[in-house]
Amino acid sequence: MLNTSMIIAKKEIRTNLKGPGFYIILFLFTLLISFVSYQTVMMLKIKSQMPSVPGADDGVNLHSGFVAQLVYLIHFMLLLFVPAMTSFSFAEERKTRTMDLLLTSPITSFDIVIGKLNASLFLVLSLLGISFLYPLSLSISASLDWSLLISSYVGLFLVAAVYVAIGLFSSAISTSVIVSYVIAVVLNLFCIFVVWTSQTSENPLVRDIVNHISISKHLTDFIQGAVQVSGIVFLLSMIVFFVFLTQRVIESARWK
Amino acid sequence: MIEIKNLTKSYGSIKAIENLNFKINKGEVVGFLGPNGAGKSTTMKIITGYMAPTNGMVNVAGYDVFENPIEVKKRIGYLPEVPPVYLDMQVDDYLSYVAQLKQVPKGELSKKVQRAIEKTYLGDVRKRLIGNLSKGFKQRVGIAEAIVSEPEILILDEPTVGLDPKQVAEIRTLIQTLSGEHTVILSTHILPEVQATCKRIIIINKGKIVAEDTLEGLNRKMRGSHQILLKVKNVSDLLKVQLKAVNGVLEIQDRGSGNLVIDTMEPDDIIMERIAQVSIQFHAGLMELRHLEGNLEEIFIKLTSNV
Repeated sequence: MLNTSMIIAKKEIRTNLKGPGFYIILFLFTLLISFVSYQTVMMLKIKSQMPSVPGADDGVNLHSGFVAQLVYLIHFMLLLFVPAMTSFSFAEERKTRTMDLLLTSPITSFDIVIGKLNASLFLVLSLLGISFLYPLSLSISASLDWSLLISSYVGLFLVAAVYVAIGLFSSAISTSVIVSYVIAVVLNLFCIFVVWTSQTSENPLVRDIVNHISISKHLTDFIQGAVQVSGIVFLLSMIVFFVFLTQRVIESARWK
Repeated sequence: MIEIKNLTKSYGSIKAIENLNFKINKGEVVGFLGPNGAGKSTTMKIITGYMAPTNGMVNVAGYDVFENPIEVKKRIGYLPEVPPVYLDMQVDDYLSYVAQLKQVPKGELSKKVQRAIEKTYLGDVRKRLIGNLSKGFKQRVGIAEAIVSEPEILILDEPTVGLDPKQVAEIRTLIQTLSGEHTVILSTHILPEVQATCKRIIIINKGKIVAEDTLEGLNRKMRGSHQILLKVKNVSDLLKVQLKAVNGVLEIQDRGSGNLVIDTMEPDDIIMERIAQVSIQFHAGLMELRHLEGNLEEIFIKLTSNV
């Protein structure tokens, strides 16, 4: 069970590491993050040179001034990059008819989805690994709040995993890579934009619900170090939900 | 080995196959024949567990396809219409991936991949990307994919499409060599292919089985008699009369340019010999004499246009 999904994951990772696509994504991601982290540091520098306003307690805080900003920006980038990595997963297999091979092999559709999920998570981890170098490099000359940094990255990873699950689902429902990319981005954006409802709705129950299902709100909790069990449970259940939907879509091919 | 009962599959209101019933024994090579859109691929997809039928039952090696799909899939090697190859993988990487998916134990992996490569003559291209191979080679990679795990049952959907004549001959030989150890179902609309490789033929048209027999059996059924072709230089009425007088000859048809088709009671060598003697005796100039057998094309057209 676990074994067969690992076979698929390994193959996916190997194919990605052998082809140019993954390296292009990696390169562009690195380019962007170098730019934004440099800009963030510069902003922090300007801020530190300004005379502090009496009464305001901000001062120069490396976590809120740099790490938190960077994590928000990485999150925004992942929202666009993760669908680019997942949109091929099923759309391409369907298009090239290699899905026939998977569906006639002695494996369950659940194994297939988990294999793909693991492979994408690995690729996402490598992006996060690269982005981690930037706060790490800052730690040479300044003291970072490590526990906050780590909790931010755990949050970032969980949110990215939700995007992976959404991406897999979008890839499963379309044979076109571009269509599945667009669907994934729109779903991701919706998970973020939904938070506005909490500001416009007057019904307190709706506001509570919306606050709970907003991904950005949970990410903010992680960044501020206010990790809540409900947040972790919510993000995990989002992953499970979309993995389940994906598995149902794959399985439905048998009944067409 | 494979038993199919009352199998029906409908796509909306269209019935792709209707009430199919047949049985395939271990070690048999069965040709699954039919015009385009007859329901061949659908039937094969259902046997492999890829697709669920609307009605009916499929039993493979004692396992029901719907209750025990994993066990069934372990025993089947399947080549779909389009070979399911990853264009960005090398041939041997791909085959070892397939073997792993088919749950070949790690220790036997390289041995089985090697065997599949040898059997499909892929040795020269094993390190190349599948995407850079020609259509014929891709098709062979597809066949290698089907046989790599040495399954008990092979289901090949039009295996020689896109191959050149030499490769077609090689693949046919390959299928013949596989026939002893594997049960093979071969779908095609290329008739000589069936004649060359299959012992038993199932002809399907518009989702229904219209005939199921050995090639000779089909011949006999369709014709009711046996035919011999005689080609001579000079056709004369005397010759025809003399031939007609040979014991066992029923009818003589003149097909023009010296071709005579002789209907006989049985495929008898003594009759052949007598015909040869008669034509030499009357100086007809004997050029060719042979049994007319296995004209599957005629049978096929008759069967599939009647329904």
